[in-house]
Amino acid sequence: MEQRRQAPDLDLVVVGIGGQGVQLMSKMLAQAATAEGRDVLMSSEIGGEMRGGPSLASVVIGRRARRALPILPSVGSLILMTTEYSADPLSRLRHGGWVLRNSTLVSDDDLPDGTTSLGVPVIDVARQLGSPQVAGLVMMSAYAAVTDVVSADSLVAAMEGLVPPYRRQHVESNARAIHHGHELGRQLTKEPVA
Amino acid sequence: MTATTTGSPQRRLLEGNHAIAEAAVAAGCRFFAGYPMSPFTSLLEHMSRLLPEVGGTCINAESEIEGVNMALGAAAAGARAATGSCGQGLALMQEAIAEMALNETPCVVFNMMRGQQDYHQATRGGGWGDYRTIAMAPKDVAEAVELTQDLFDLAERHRAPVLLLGDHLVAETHEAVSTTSREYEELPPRDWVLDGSSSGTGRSRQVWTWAMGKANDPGPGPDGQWRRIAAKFAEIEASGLARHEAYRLEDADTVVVAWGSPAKFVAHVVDELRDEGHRVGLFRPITLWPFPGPALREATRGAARVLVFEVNAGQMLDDVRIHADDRDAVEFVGGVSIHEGGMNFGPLLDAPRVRERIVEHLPTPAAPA
Repeated sequence: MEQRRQAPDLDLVVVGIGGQGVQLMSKMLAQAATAEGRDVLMSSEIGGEMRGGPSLASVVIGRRARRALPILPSVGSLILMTTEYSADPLSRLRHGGWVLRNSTLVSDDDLPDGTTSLGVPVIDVARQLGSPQVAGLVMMSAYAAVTDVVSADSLVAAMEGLVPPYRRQHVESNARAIHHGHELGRQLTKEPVA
Repeated sequence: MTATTTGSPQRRLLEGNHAIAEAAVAAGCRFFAGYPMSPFTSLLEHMSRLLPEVGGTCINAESEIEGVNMALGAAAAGARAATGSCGQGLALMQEAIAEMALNETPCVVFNMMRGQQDYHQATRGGGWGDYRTIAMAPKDVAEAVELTQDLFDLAERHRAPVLLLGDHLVAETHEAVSTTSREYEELPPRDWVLDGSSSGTGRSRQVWTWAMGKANDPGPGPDGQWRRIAAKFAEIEASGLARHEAYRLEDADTVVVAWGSPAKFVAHVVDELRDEGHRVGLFRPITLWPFPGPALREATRGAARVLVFEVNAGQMLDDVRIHADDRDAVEFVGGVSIHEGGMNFGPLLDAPRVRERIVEHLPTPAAPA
């Protein structure tokens, strides 16, 4: 079991629209952290039976996970895949928290003044990689790189464990997306945050 | 993820229903019958996958009544059996639960509630006769794994149906947990099992709530049987089986009483309020029956106020009023709150809202030390 001594404690809310992308990417992170020996809590909020409703997930990694509430009163980081359903999560962002936004759809102007954010155009990236569905994987891998919370290899292993048998044909392209997103995240942290 | 007969020490990220299913199998559960209803459904699904791997049986019954009676039959024949639903399904099972209590059939019944509406159902019972039901409420997945195993032991040890009260947060939240088998003391001999070993002897065993026995082997009859069962539950209540968690109660002048997932929210608020100088603590019953009455009396001695927070119209409230040291100090600060879809907790179960309900009753704090 890989133990990364320097990996940080963090909490995160991922916001998007259903389908299952938000849930898959969040579970991938949560699984990866668990495999690396961390304490983890993950809870989900999926609204409505139809696509287009809200899909949110909370992930807590580290010492706070055991006592963490499944509905986080405050959170240190957000991933926004769209602007929709983001108002309540943004209101819970702690002072000093930050946002990783899908810059294809979410600009810095869409966030409250003074919000620290980084942007990755994950939908554009996913299209360039050949499948729009991997946008969430790109995003979560970028997040993992920026925070250094889990390794890219752990993400790939987690993804492989989560992909159902009838989707095995996507494992390779998913893995490419993860490595690409992780590299994008590493590039982001080389630049100063606005 | 394969089930094993001894559980898995390795920590894995599991949703609550999955962890509970694995804990049940690790505790020896080999028969499960149930009918789907959210948020219980995935527990049934996980059992359907895990039980065949260990030579057990899982049946998707045609109704909750069918499921609980199948479990009764399997248990009477000696299997560690279980069933479950949410409160609406438990409502259909009440007769069978009463029968199991009165005819001494062990069974674990999972109520994965949609909110906290079923405290009265669990502790007062909706069946018939003089019986009680051991009922436990975990606050999270990790505790659910422990309590599930304890309940299988208690069911067989006391030959009775027992309840685990979860909710949709326990059912659906993922936590990194291990599901290793817990160890228990030796059980009484299983001479009650309908295993056919007495067949043809004239003294074959019976499971009969009326306990009239046979012409050549009369039983105690309903009067004898029901007196004995009532005495059994009175003995269980007095036995020290009750459990609770005491959190930051040492010098508390405000005691908040809460159970299940919501108690975790209260603990979070207690920490905030303590940082602000309030002397507030949490008393969390873990067994809803037997209710930890003597411990609550002790914990509330000298408290200026006892605030009951639960997400219902006030059910555990009744037991707090019975047992608190000063009944007049008890205030209800919870309430009904259900998500618009009808299946999840509503907006009240959020730390800032829980805090509001508690703060309303607090005096101005002394300056922090």
